Formats: sequence, C-alpha cells, structure tokens
Amino acid sequence: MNENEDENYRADEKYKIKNEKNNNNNNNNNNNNNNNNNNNNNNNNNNNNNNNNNNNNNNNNNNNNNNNNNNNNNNNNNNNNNNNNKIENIDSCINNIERTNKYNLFKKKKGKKNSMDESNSSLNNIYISSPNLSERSDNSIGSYCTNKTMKSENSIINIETLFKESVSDDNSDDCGSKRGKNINDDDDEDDEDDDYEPDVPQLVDYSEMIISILYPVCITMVIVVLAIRAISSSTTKNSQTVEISNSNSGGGGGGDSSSGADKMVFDSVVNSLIFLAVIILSTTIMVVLYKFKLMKALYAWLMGTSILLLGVFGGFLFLILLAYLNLGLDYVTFVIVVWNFSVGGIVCIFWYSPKLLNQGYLISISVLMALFFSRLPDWTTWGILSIVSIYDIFAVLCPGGPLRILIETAQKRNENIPAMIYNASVYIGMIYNEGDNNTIDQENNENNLNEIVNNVSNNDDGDVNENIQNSEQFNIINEVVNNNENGAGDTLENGSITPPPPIPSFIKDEKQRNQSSGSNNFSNFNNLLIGDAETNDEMVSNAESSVDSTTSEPYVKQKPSIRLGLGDFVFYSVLIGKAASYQITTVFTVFIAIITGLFLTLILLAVFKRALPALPMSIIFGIIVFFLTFKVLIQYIYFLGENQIFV
Amino acid sequence: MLIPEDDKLDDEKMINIARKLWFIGFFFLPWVWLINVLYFIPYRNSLNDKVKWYLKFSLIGFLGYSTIFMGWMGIYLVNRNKWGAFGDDISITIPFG
Repeated sequence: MNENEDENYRADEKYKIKNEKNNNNNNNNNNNNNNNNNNNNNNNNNNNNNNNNNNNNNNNNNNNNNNNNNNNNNNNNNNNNNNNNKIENIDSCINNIERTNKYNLFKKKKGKKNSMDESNSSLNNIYISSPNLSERSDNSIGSYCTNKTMKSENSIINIETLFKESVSDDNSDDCGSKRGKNINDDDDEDDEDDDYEPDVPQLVDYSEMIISILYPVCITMVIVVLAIRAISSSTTKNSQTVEISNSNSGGGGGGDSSSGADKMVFDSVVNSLIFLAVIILSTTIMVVLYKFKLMKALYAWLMGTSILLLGVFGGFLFLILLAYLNLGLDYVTFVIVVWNFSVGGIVCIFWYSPKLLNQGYLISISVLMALFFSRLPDWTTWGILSIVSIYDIFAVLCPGGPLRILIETAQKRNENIPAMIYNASVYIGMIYNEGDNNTIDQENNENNLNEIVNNVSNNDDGDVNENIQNSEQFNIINEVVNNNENGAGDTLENGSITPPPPIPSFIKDEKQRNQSSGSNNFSNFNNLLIGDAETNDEMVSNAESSVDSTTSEPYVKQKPSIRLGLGDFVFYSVLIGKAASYQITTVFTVFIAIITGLFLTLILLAVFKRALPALPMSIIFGIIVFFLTFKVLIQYIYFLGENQIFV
Repeated sequence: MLIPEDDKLDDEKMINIARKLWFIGFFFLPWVWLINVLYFIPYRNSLNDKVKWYLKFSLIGFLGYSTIFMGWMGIYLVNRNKWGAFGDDISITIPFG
C-alpha cells in the first residue's frame, strides 16, 4: 500500500512538474487550476491531489492577493477530512521534506530553511510554487513555502517567497522568525511590496544612481591621493626617482612663485591656454571624425592613445611604485607586465570583457591621467582647472559646443557616445542570459528539477520511521514557473538556481555593458549624461522586443543610467592630487567639496534631464575650499594647536 | 565601444570571442587568457563545447605562462646578488639596503 502509493505519488510529482511548466506558459490562473484538476483526475491519487488542488487554488489566490483567509479555511477543512489517511502519507511527507531540502540546498539557502526540526513537525504544508510572472515584481524568483506547525489539526499556510539573491536572505529570515504563526497577511504584504517595487518614487532611484557613480569617483580620488603621497615620499627616500618627479617641486606651496609674480601669472596663463588649445583641437578632431563616420580612424586613434597611455604612464607608475617599495625587478618581467597590462586594457575597454575589469581599467586610465597632470606646476594646475571647467560649460551647453554636437549626433544615430565614459547604470532587475540562451537555460532547469526528483526518490527511504507517530499531512503545490518563451522568466529561474555572477550592485546589467568608448581622454572630459527620455524609451522597446512578451514588462523597466565622462574623473583627481601634495587637511576638505559639487550637479541633472557639465561646480567648489583651507583653516588650526586651545 | 549597446551573445559570438582572445594570448599575454576565462564565468551554464575547449586551453596557457614568468622572476630575485654586474645590468630598479 505504502510503496504503491509512494510510487504513484512520485510519478505524479514528475508528471505534474512537467505538466505545470507547460501550463504556466499561459499566465492564467484559472486555466492553470483547470488543468491541474484534469491532471489530478487522471492520476488516481486521491488524498494528495485533493490537497494539491486546494492549495493550488490557495496559492494562486495568494498570487493575486485575494481572499487568502477563505481558502485557508477551506484548506483546514480539507486537512481535517484527510486525517484518516495520515499514515499512508508519511512516506510522501518525508519525500516532500527531502525534496524541499534538496531544493533549498540547491538554491544555497542552507541553514535558513533546513533548520526546521522534522521530528516535531506534525503538519507540513510544503509549497514549491513560483509566481505568476504577470503578477509579481521582477525580484521574485519563485515562491516556495515550507511550513511546520506544532498543532496537528490546524493547517497553517505559510508562504515564503524567495526573491532574488540580494533580497532573499532578509525574506527567509523574516519567515523563519515568523514560522509557526499564521503569517498570511504579512506575506501578502510582502508580495504587495514587491509587486509595486518598480513604482518606487524616483528619488530613490536617483539616490541609488548617485551612490553608483560615487563609488568610482571616490576610488579614483583615493588611489590618486595615495599614489601622490607615495611618490612625494619616495622622492625623499630614494635618490633614483628624484629626477623622475623633479617637477613635483617637493610639495611646497607655490614652488614657482619665487621667480616673480608676473612671470608666474604669465606662465600659468600661457600653459593653461596651450592646454585648452590641445583639448579643443582633439575634441574637434573627434567630433569631425564622428560626424563624417570615419569610425575606423576614430577607433584607431582612441586605441592608440589608450595603449600608449596605459603602457607609458602605467609602466612609469609601476616603476615609481617599485622604487617606492624598494623592490628589484628585471627588464624582462617589467616589459611583460606592462605589455600584458596595456593590451589587456585595450581588450577590456574596447571589447568583450568582465564588467568589473572594464570599470577597473577605466578607473586606472583616469588615475594615470590625473597623476600625469598633477606633475604640472601649481599655478598652472589651478589655471588649467579653472579654464577647463569654464570651457566645459560652453562645450556642453552652447548650441555649437563640440561635446553637445557629439552627444546630439550620438543620440540621433542611436549609438553610444564614442568617448571614454563611465556608465554607472542601475537596473531594477538583473537582465542577463537573454535571447538565445533561453532554450539552454530551460533545459538546465528541467534537468535540475529532474535531478531533484531523482535525489528525493533515492533518499526517501531514510527517515521514514522517525516520524510515524506524528500525524502528518502535507500539501504540495508544484507550480513551477516557466514562461518558457519569456526571457525574463528564464532569467528568474536561472537566477534562482544558479548563483549570480559576483558583480557588484552598481554594475548589474549585463545587457548594457559599459560601452566604454575610448577617447583621448581629454577630448571628452566632461559630459555628464543621464539617459533621457528618448534613449530610455528606446532601451525599453529594445528589451521588450527581445523578450517578446507582455508579462515581463516589469523586468525591463529600468532606471536611467548616469554616465560620467572620464575627463571628470581625471580633473577631480587632479584637483585632489594637487591638494594632496600640500597637506592632508586640504585633501579631506577638497574631497568633501568635490563630492558636494557632484551632488549638486546630479540634483540639477534630475531637474533638467539633459546632459550637463559635471566639472564646473565641483572644480569651483574645490578650488575655493582649497584656498580657504590652505590660507585660513590650517593657520587657524595651527594657532589653536600652538596655544593649546581645544574647541 | 566596438560592440553595440544591446548586445546579445549567441553561440557563434561566444566562439568568436573565445577564439580571438585565445589567439591574442599567444603574444606573451597570459593576462588576456585570464580575461577570456573570467569573461565567460557568468555564462558557464550555457557554454558550447568549442568555447569550453578554448577556455580550457586559455586557462592552461595562462597557468603555463605564469609559471614560466614566476619561475624566472624567482630565479632572478634569488640570484641577483650572485650575478653581480650582470644582475645589475638586467635590473630596471636596483633596491638599496
């Protein structure tokens, strides 16, 4: 009897999994229920199937956020009726527990769900269900529920919804703490919250974007500060690098002011004008090349400058670092390291590469440029910074400005801007493995489920006898989600089964990878772009066409992305590097000033929704704060320190 | 930049990427081989056999090159003082102390 029913049950399980996978393509709850009814009638397994059916109703209604309590009561009655068949059900109960545990282990949710004690369990409601994609938010991977209650007769339906990896721990903690209580309402609230998550007000979106752009800026500035401190300290330590960093003038304030104020002003003005001329020339060449679609020349230029930059400046910095660390190295290893670094940089910046490496190389290019510029004399640096930030306003905002022409042309052609731009785009959902991988993923999912079932059937003989005295009932719902044609569904399934790739949150999108775009770095230093309405609609339409399903609309809903030109990184870092060559106090104040300026620019960005120059505010704030700190605050602090006054 | 914004990878593209990076790696570029392997980690469940072949040999090549270079560096660092003038000649930086 037992074995017979067990086999029946197992066959039923397998059949149901596959069948319901197919059924869920319809995205129709009623349809789904009807099909399940038919399915259950075909199989002669009374008890489990009744329960299944009932819970299936219940679960679908949970997905709809309707009438949970009624169904819950129905379920109670049904469970009471089925108490007669308890003992026959024990095998399948354990089967289900095993199965759920396998599933949990497979999803790397160990510890959380498996902590329940089987021997105490008198009633199990085990759901392996997954959300209807049209109802759920993109975050929900699939909800499957495990519940154990101490009371034997009252069936309590506990639905634990697992969301995507980043959220799932919290949710399972939540459910774990509430296990044993009737938490239908709570879970429904959770479901609702996640349903409406894409509609979170935009302020939150902007904060996320600001954070995502803040990380790389901070990393760049910190690296530049460390490198400059290291170089200036190595000059005092090692005689070999004195000639290298000779122009650094020992970190004193106004090193070249000794030769007369007028000469200093003249020099700095001439230097910054030359610099500005170089910038304008290179920007113009790039715009002309892009305008007339000489893309190969453009790419060749960008690649050449990038590889020279990475190789020459990278090797230079590497040499300085070796001297600073007092390490010996031979020419062969040095050449190979530099060669690998620069060619790998070209691959990472311009072609397919891991997102993290791509962004790392973009940051390293900015760091190298900034280190190079911060070797200029002091007043020349200040002159260059102010002139460039003023030029930035005109280049981005004036109708004839070169950067504006570049941006508008790129938008007209629906291309990305051919420039070195750090793209810190933030998506709500994780979109990857789209398109042609769908079939493969689906096969993987089926294989996974079959594996799970097989494991269960292998393991179900183990713990049968332990729980005989406990009357157990359980209801299983297998509502395995598969919108098989739906790319988003597959990404969900994939995300639920395989751990996501280790990428940080601000670079979640595989789809819109950083199209890094190269450029000669100073030619396009200063465009702060937000994806405006036009490009956003375009992106959404692309995603929809690729997913070709209306139900996955929440998944492709995405936030606009912030892109910050590498030139902004460079000049922020130049400013802070210059500050770092004076005193550590100025570093902190200038850092805060730059970040404040960046935030103000981002607020303006949220207001105007168009490309804005990112340099002026930060640079002006930074320069003002630097001189205030250097001339006033440090004197003040010294005064306080000398006179032992503690404020 | 050389790839479109909404780029989707299919099998042919994957093979193409893996093969090109594999070829590039022969120019004393183990780092590119490592990039090749790292790039396909997120797609590891849906990889073609051919791609896997390239990735496997990329990894082997990376390990081989790394071993050679590391070995040479170890030999150099150990024997630099013994070699005397020759050791100084091939050194790009000479540590003091």
